[in-house]
Amino acid sequence: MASLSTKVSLYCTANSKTADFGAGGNVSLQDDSDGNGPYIKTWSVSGLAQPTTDQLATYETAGNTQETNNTVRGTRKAAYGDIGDQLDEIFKDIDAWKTRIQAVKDANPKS
Amino acid sequence: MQIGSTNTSTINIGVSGDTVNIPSGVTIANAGTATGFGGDNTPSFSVTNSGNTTVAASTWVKLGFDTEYYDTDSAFASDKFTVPASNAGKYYFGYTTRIQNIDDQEYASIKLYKNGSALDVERTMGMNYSSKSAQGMNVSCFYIDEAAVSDYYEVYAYHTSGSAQYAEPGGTVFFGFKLLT
Repeated sequence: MASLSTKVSLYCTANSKTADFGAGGNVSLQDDSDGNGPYIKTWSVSGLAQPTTDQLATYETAGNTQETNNTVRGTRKAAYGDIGDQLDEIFKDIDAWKTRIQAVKDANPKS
Repeated sequence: MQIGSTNTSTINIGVSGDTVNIPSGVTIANAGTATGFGGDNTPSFSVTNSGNTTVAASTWVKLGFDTEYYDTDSAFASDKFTVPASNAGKYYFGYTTRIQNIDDQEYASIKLYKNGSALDVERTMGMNYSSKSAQGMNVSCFYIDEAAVSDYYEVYAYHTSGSAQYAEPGGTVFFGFKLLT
């Protein structure tokens, strides 16, 4: 199940807005650990109404895809290794580096 | 000079309304038990969690605390500290947690809530950025607040990782005590 933050982000993007969850941002989400799950605590996205539960539900599939791809990106990033080490690889043998990076991508495909 | 004998149970000095003066330069040396002086910084508590709390991405999530190291006035219950009767005053709170798998440029944060609302965001929030992938990120903060009877305090955590992460039990602690005035 896609997280609330992912679905809110997709809702804002679909309406040409950007959700900012950080301190002083335009959306804050909260979960009081009372079994009711996360909810929108504050909403101040200029020019865009707070989404309903039904509206957010329409982003479930897209949200799952995005979160799966985020996991893939993290796995790839870890496998790529330190950027300094990669620059050294490129300097010594750029073709070997490209082969290794492609292998990481192939082993961790996005949805 | 000896005042009282070995079988004197109580020695009274003055009566209500009197002032007992101890002149400058006098030293009071106590080798016995003194009551009614100073205080013992109670109520006080220190709690942790025996399991993980799942913290959803970009969401302030209340942390669970199911294990008490101590709780002098039985004022901690249901993941929150509630100021007991006759114990209003200034309280010192400390709170820390450790969020798993925080990647480069992502951050974890922690905040103190009072009566269901976040306290002053800047002063009550700890934040830490990661400089590497998949780091366990410790965040801590300390705060002194003027508390009334029945005020309650909770701790919330937050992170910007792309998916839900755990607040680890070993690194999650919430403590507090009343300051002497």
